[in-house]
Amino acid sequence: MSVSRRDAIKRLTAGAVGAAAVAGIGGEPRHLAPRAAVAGDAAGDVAPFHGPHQAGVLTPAQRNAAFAAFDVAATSPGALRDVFRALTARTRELASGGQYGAGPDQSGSARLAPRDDPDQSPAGSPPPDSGVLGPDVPTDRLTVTVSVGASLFDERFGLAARKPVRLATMPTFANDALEPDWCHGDLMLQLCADNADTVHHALRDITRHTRGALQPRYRLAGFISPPRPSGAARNLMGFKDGIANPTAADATDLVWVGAGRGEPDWATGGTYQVVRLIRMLTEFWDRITLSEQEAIIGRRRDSGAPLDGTAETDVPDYERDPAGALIPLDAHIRLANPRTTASAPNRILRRGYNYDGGLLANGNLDAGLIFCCYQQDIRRQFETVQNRLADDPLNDYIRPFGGGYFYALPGVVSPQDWYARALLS
Amino acid sequence: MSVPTRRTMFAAATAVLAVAAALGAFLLPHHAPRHPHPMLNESRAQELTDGYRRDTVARIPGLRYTDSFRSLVACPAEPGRYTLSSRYDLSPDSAAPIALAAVRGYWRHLGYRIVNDTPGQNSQLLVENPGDGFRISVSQRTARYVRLAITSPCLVPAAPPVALVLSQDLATAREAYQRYVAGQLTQLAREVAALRTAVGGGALARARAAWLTAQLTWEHVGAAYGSFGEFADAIDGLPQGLPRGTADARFTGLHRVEYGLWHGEPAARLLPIVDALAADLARLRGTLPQETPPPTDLPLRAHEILEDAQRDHLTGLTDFGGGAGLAETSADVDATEALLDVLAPLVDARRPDLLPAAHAGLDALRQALSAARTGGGWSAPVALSPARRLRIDAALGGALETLAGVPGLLEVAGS
Ligand code: HEM
Repeated sequence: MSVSRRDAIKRLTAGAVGAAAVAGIGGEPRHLAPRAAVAGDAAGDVAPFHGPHQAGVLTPAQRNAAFAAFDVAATSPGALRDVFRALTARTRELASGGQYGAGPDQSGSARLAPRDDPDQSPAGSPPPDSGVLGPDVPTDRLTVTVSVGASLFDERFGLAARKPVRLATMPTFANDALEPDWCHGDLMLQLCADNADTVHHALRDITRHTRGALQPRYRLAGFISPPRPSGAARNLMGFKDGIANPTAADATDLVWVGAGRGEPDWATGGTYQVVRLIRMLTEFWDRITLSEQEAIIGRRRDSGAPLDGTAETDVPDYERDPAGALIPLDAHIRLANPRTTASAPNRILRRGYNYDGGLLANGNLDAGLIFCCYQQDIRRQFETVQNRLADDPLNDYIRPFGGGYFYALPGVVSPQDWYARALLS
Repeated sequence: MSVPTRRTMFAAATAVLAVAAALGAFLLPHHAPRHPHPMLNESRAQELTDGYRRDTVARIPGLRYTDSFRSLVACPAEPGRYTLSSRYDLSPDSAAPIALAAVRGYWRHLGYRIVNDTPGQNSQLLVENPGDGFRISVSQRTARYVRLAITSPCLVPAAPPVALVLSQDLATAREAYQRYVAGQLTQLAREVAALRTAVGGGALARARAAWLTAQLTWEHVGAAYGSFGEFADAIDGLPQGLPRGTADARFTGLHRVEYGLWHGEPAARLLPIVDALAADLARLRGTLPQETPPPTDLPLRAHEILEDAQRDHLTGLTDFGGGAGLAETSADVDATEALLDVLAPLVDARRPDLLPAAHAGLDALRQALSAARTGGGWSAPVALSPARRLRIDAALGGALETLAGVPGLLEVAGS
């Protein structure tokens, strides 16, 4: 027993090496060879980590997620750099199963978490890995998407002049009942993987390796249901969700911030992220008639078809229905995307998850939607859509209580690169 | 901070007609089928109807929908069974007669039986699909009016449909409700005047008591979910959706006064707020006939008044110091009872067991609430013992489930 446990720790060092390298304690960083395939691995199990854009935006949605907001407790620009280096090292390692362990890590030195290299740790130190995933850490299509909030650009780190020009603090919208503990943050991590334990493991690993420098502010776990019985997954109102969404082909026009958009150079390749934590009043929703539910959404509940069509994939034809005889003019899908030439640039890339937690003060279920969307320009896209939804009859059945506006950093392009390098150096 | 109005969904919703005659022109006569078709349920019939509609309209160029209506109609020859009958009004883009050649050819190709093919002024093309017994008719009534009607074969609905409510019935109920509201608002005006005196006199305890009296009278109005529109926001608005929260200038009305009375605001600051409240109230009383929610909204309020209580009063969302969540909920029970009285003739005629069950549920809730009374007042919901709290939450949830049966029962004929 103790022997195999010891082995496990040795092997798990693979999981900790990135940070050990970052820690740069005494001489050569240590790396392990790429992890051998473990049971359950399959082709497509790894979401590529390096590239001009971060993973987790266009990546087909994994089944589980956590949205975790943090505040930076570190106080100097150097310490902030260390935070991002550590985040990079851990994410690279966790998301790619050790395959970047083979070369020397040149992401620089940071003094975070020297406790992670057992060979450097004093004898008797706690195990470096939580063990939640067992001895062989699978990748499980894990993605960690790192975004920064407007508050990071305050006076603390001297970054005010480098703030993405369209990044602001999320305002209060008409139907909101925002709870300050669930809003904003210096940093947002969107962690996604096919299994919930992988998400939890990654979050625990990352918080551990940044302890003292990054302080968690709020977090919420999310999930996407399997198709019931087919097509898009259902949300907790029983409707198929995520049917209509821009695709990778639209990403240049709608999602990625390119050069020439008036943004600072460092921001190229990033995208704006809006997170809204939206409670669903599921008891109330269950107490209204099916025809009312369908008129509110604008789609059939069973099939997901728009009310003017027969199949989930049918495209609603609002021109043929100018008075809302089939799809009411204030149906959610019609307000959200009127599908005119003028509204085309307002489209957003939605990437939401259900959440299902405890109970509310009145004994009702606390469940809802972690609404998340990506876009080039929050005002032109999310806010335009959100303002069109001001009179959405759906508002009676939902209550936004948290979230924030963030800027998802450009991708990490190489083993030498790290998140926010261009911003911080 | 405009609270959106819950949809009035009757325009395109299911209506249920037990009497075929009321359906008039769009009932497509059905004969007992020679080969009985496999039994369809309503939701499958709806899917097939959607398909026939789409396939038909796609083959007639230049049509736009202007209205739609669906209903269950009793099958004359088969008691207990109903057809799903749907009517779509369409308007052609041009004044020329619509071109039916493509759809006629398509139906022939599919082997549909042509039942009627009348060209010219009052054209009609009526076919039946021998495969499933559906009938589809396209008729041009005038240059600008085309009607598409689709009728299913006889179905067995999940529950026997109830008689549709006529809009006149609900209009009468609305008048009765409006008289009730007018009485409450008259009383509220007196109470707001008393509130002003108390605030001006600087007697905090009296002012707080006067506020509660007025707040509860407003609750008695039963103004859930956006009824009375911007007046409700002005008189009883909440700060949560406002950029500056409780400090926002648009936070006005009764809860704003409550906030001031429990946060040490001086009378000089509060008096203008009370005056504005009195003015908004006077304006609402002046326009009450227009501001009273439409008749079709009334049945929705049967559960919505207490849905509001559950969402807002029992979560502390409307508590700005007064701790009156239970008192407000109790007043909402009264408002719900008053509304049920107005709707009683319509509900009793359709489901005689519903209102007795609803009243029993409301009584249980009232008892659970009064068990939580302390001396002359109410404890704040947060201060309740878990056992008391549990009883209230359970009774409220139970009552709401029963009350939710009302709106579906009182859908309106016609659109
Ligand atoms: C709990 C809150 C919400 C629920 C339950 C909800 C539900 C739905 C459903 C069922 C659909 C139809 C399926 C689909 O096309 O994917 C949909 C579509 C959509 N929703 Fe929401 N939604 C919510 C909040 C929001 C918010 C906050 C926004 C943006 C501000 C939004 C924007 C959209 C858009 C853009 C579409 C696609 C419309 C189209 O392109 O046809 N939704 N939503």
